[in-house]
Amino acid sequence: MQFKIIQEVIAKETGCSISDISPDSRLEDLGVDSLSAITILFQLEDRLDIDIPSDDIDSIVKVSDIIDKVNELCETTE
Amino acid sequence: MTRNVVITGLGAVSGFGLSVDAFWQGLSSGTSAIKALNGEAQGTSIKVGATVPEYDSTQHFSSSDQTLFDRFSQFAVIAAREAIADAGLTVGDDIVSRAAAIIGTGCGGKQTDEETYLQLYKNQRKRVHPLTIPQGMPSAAASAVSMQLGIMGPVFSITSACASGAHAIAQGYSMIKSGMAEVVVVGGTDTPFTYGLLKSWEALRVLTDDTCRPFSKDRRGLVLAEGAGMIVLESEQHAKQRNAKVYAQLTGCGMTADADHVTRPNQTSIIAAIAAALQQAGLTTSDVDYINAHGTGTQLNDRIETSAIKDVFAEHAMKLAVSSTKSMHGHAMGASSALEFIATVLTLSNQLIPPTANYTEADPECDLDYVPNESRSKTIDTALSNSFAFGGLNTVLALSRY
Repeated sequence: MQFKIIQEVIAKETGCSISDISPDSRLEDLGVDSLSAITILFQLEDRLDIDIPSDDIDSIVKVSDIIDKVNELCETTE
Repeated sequence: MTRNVVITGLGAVSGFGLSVDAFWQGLSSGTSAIKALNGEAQGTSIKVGATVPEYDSTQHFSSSDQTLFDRFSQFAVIAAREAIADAGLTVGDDIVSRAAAIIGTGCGGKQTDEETYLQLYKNQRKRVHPLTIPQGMPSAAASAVSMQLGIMGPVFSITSACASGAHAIAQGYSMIKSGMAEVVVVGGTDTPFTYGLLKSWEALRVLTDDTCRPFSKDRRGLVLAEGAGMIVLESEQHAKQRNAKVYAQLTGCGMTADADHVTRPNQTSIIAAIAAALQQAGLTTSDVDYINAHGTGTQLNDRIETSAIKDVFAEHAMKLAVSSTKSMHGHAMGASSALEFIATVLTLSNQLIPPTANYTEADPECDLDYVPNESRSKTIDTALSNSFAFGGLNTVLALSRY
């Protein structure tokens, strides 16, 4: 469910097709730059009502990094 | 060697639409873009305005740029694109990349700011969009013009309320005169139809609920508008070298400040601004054929502006033509003075004076020739464009036929 939301948010920001966004996709390869990265994280924070710490942003390279971070934060929230 | 400054490109976003052609067609036919507001002024007593009709940002910007650019930046870019193309220049050219861009704005990115405050203060949202700062900063429009057109010379914003566009034009003029630049994109942009700004204007009690009737005895105030006006200024030598079309010459800029009341115009300071423009342009009062007035349509402004013109021009005041195009495009804040400058340029190049529309009744205290309601063909060699901003910041631009 969360992966689907992540796909939707990345697709909207980058213009990529959802089918091109897999957990192994590198954000850079999807056309995500520093500005679109923080926009994507903002959209996820907003939709999932979580707070992604700024310190964690530098470690996000692949879509799977976002999935892991979101899962971790959603579990904490629950 | 004297470096003359000429006008080689024009771009306009106004209540008439997204082009200079639409703008001039409206002004020259005496048509007013002022209309009844629908949802734009909900919750206020404001009845009329001149909004840009049927604007669809998707037709002009990519999805990411729509997010990045506030409405005031988008209008600035659209007008600047038109001005650059009109000047016969192409984005990516060395001429454009070396150019400067000076963009005036009275309000800045208010749509972004107010949407942010709405989400935080009213809707109790915990976070705001990460691009809020670069979207809303007052210099965002200047940056957007630079990014979209590839302008890499000096680029910055100027803010002086209703005279912002005129001050930007004066700054561009000075940069060319000094040799700092050969080509400068100058102008103004503003989009004041936001709830907070409208309520603030409502509180000031200077808006009419009727229409804008400058210099007419029954005038009841100004009408808000949105838009952008952009102009390509160029050194005459540079324009000649590339065989550019020249609309007119910018010959002088007179700037003064009232250091007085925040909203009441100061006649002495206005007189000094007009005199400074004439002096820099090397003109005598009898040379001036037309004045595009500040002409807001408030009782006080129009009376004081008339009195200042009579003081400066003496007997010649009754011979020159004066019109306020705000009667048609409304008062677009920082964009207004740029749009009026464009109207004055086109008056010179077309030898046709746009009228003061909605004029119904002569006022004994406003007794000049205001070109009421119908445009007029006349030989116009020299013209002035007046802008007198809140806070007492005055700019008068002098132009000559080319």
